[in-house]
Amino acid sequence: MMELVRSGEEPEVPVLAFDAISRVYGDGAKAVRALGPVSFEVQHGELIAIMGPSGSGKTTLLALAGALDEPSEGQVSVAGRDLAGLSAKELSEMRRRVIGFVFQDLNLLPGLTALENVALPLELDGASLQEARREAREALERVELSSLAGRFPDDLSGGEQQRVAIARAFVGPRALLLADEPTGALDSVTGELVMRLLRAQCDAGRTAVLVTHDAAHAAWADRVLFLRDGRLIDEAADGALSVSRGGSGS
Amino acid sequence: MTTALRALIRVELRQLRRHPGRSWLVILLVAVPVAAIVGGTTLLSITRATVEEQKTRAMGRADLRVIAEDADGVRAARALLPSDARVAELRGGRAHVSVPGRRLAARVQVVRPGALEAGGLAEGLLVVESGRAPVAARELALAPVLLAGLERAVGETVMLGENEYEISGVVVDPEKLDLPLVLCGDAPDDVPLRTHLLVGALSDAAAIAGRLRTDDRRVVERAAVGGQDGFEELVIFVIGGLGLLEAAFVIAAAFAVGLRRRQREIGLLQSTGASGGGIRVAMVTSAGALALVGGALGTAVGTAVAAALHPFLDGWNGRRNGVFETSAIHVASAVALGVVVALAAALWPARTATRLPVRVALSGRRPVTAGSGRWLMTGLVAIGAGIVSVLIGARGGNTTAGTLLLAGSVLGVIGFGLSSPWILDQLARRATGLPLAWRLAVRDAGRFRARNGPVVTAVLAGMSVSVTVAALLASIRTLPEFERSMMRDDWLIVEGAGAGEVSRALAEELEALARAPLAATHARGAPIVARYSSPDSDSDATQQSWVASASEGLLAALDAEDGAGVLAAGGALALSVDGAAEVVELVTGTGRVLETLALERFEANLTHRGPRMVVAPRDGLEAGPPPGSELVPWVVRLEAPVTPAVLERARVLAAGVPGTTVDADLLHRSPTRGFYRVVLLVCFATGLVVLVVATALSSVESASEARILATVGATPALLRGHLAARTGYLALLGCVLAIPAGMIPAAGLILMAPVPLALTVPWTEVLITVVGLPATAYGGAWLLAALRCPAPAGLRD
Repeated sequence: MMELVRSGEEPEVPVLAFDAISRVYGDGAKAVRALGPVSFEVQHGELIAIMGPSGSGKTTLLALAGALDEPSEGQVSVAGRDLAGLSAKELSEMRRRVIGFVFQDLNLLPGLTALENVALPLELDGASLQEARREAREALERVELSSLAGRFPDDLSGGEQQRVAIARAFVGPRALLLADEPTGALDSVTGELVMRLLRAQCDAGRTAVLVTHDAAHAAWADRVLFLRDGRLIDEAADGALSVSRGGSGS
Repeated sequence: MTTALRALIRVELRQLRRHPGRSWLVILLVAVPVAAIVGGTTLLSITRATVEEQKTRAMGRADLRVIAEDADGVRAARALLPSDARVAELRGGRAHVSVPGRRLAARVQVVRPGALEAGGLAEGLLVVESGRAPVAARELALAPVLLAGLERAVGETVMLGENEYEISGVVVDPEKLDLPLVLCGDAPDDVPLRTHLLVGALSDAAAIAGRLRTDDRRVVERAAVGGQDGFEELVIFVIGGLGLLEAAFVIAAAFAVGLRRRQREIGLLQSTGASGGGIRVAMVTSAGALALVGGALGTAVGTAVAAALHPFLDGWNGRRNGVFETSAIHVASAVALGVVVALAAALWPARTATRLPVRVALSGRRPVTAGSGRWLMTGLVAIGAGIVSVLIGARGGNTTAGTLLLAGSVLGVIGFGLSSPWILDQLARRATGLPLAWRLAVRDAGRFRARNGPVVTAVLAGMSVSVTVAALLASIRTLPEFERSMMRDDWLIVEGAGAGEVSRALAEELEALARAPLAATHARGAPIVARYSSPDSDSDATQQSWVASASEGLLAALDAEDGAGVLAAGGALALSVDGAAEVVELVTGTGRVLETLALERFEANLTHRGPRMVVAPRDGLEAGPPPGSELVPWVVRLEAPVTPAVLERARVLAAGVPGTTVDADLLHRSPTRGFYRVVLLVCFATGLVVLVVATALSSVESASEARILATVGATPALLRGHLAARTGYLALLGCVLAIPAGMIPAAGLILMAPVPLALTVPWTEVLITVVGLPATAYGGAWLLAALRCPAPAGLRD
């Protein structure tokens, strides 16, 4: 598996590329087009926000990007590899080494401590327990939670849980984070903290795709893609949104 | 019923329809034990002789049966009977019936035809099934087994003794259909017979019986014959009840999982004004409704199975069974038991779900699991109470002993079950170093300990039965009696109507070393026993054993030819009898010493089927069976131990003569092993059913966590391993706890045993229990998970 954190003067390969992607659920008269056709690319170090009303296809897009679902038409590439051509085993490997997920809730396995949750992808990838935990501890330090490493998720606040999830999403060599409303269940201050962490990770060379309803959080992104009825209707570059980072959005 | 309650019950009943899988699970969990109870008690009542049938079997229609033996005895007995008493003579003996080329041993009964007819004193003792009862001097009726063996039919002739008879009909003993029976109207000239008198129309049978006994006559009174203590029904209800207890834990777990998923809905109901009590009543009512359906289904299945088996019962148990009928009391009791168990199982989860604060319920978050310490304390108290109950029952020796033992066993199982949440919690805290799949399994089990505790309890309840049986059998096997084999390994024993004929054919075909009848010696119809001082130092203690009259063939069969000299000198040959005894007394059944002989010990393999003592034929002692005894088995000694191939050949030969069977040591090795295997298999099956259900329930609840695992890149193999580890872990804990839980009743039973037994831990069976079920559960769950691996999907939009 290739190294995805940008280094040197390598040719630019998009971390994530959607090429005429559509997703249709059901058949015949009952068919519902949830997404598409949609095409876009996400480059190294970018933080992309996807906004749109409920039912616009944001989560479908994220599921396709993370190989949790298969498109009806088109091609999804992650790190230059067409996901459609990968076996179940290779997709698992992709999720262990390339793609990290953060959801609004149900992010962490309640049976594992914060440290074990973060170490999980490495452990699954065959790293020794000591090595996995060492890297996980470093990841927790980056999100300023190393002091809570031994706690179980039920003993953490919502914000702490999301920070642990972000640490897990970026632990090891993984460079693409897919976040589905990661601040949806958090208060504004904690939400800001989570967004600051995401921004910092992207500034350090990682890549993130964020689904959000909140324009204030979208303002942290390099680009914002607007979805409606499954189609991209607009795109705003960094600074185009009329909000400041940390301010109220519109 | 209030409007609110009606509304809540409507909600619950709709839930049953919305979740048909869970509803059917509860229905089946109730239905299976109820079906077992209803079917078992129905079959039992059909196959077991009623009190009246037992009386008829022994007495016909008579009030008294007097054993008169011979003509003098008949005269003396008749003299003591009232002049208006009805009397019928019933004479019996042994003889051979033959046709050219075939000769079968048979039991001869002589009854006047009128006595067998309706209203006759012998009515029901024997039944003429076709043709007619013999009336002429040279007529007889034969049992089907003899007709088949002799290849004869009604109207043809056979030889009884030295005379030719015509077959007038087919006769059977309704309680023993395969008995080789010959019914004659008149006594055959050359068959020695013993006479019984059937006496009826007595105004005071007890007083007359007393008078006869005073005159040293043996008398059987109708009032004293037969009886049922209901023990078999109790055993069926106990086994079915244990099945329902096991089902209760699974039902409780199923309700707990269902109510956890409905947590927000319950919060919503409460937020709209429904009371917790009302919701509880509605939930328990729905459980009761399911149990009623389960009870009805179980009753229908149990009855249908019993009805389907009914036509075959006569062939299986060799008696004329009763008509098909079910007991309303048994059915009602079984259904009531099922309903009560389901209500009790639903009550606790319903209580837990409705006591949750509305705010917590509406949040949908998992409520904080209560500490498990109090469960441990309660469990330890239950275990202690169980041990005390078993000890009191074991030492009591009264009729309540069984009840106390059962109560103690159940308390022990419940006690260990109650302790299991604490154990799950403690093990979860120490899982850090385990491989990922097992770490998650152990931690999950600890988190969901309130739900997994009943699953562990259900597994341990089932497996503890196998541990109890294994411990009991292991303890029994330590008895010296068990060290003795049933027979020599080079023996074939032929039994039944054609034993002599088949053994002769076998001896010729297999070139046997010896062939002889295994018959006790007797004197004037009474069996003789050998009495000698006990092998231990207590000279007052004596032992008795049956004694055979020696023949050349018997000595050769016993591998005791070298003892012929002892017998020729008039002594008695003791086979491997240790001790200081120098003499042996030959004693009649009444204790009269016939003779005292010098005792010579001879090293030979002592067996259960062979005699312990052999004496030479002498005046006053008769070889062969005493009148009225069972058919004589014949032993055939081969040059080498009997192999399965030889045994099969012998069985083929025996099959040519109906009613004849062959036995060998091969068939008796570890006779208890087969019983243990059946018990183990049943326990395994129930344990696996519990685990499959538990796995399915936990999979539903843990689906979201499986998805998280998938999103971080867990391979399908790890997801399968996780599911399998969870199942295997619960099975392992249940099986480990089953060992002490099973040893409690085993210890009680051993204390109650009529012979001193030492409690023996069956290590092999323990290993089978601890490894077998968990490994099977792990493998089964792994395979099932391979069929339905959780997919990483289901995000919101």
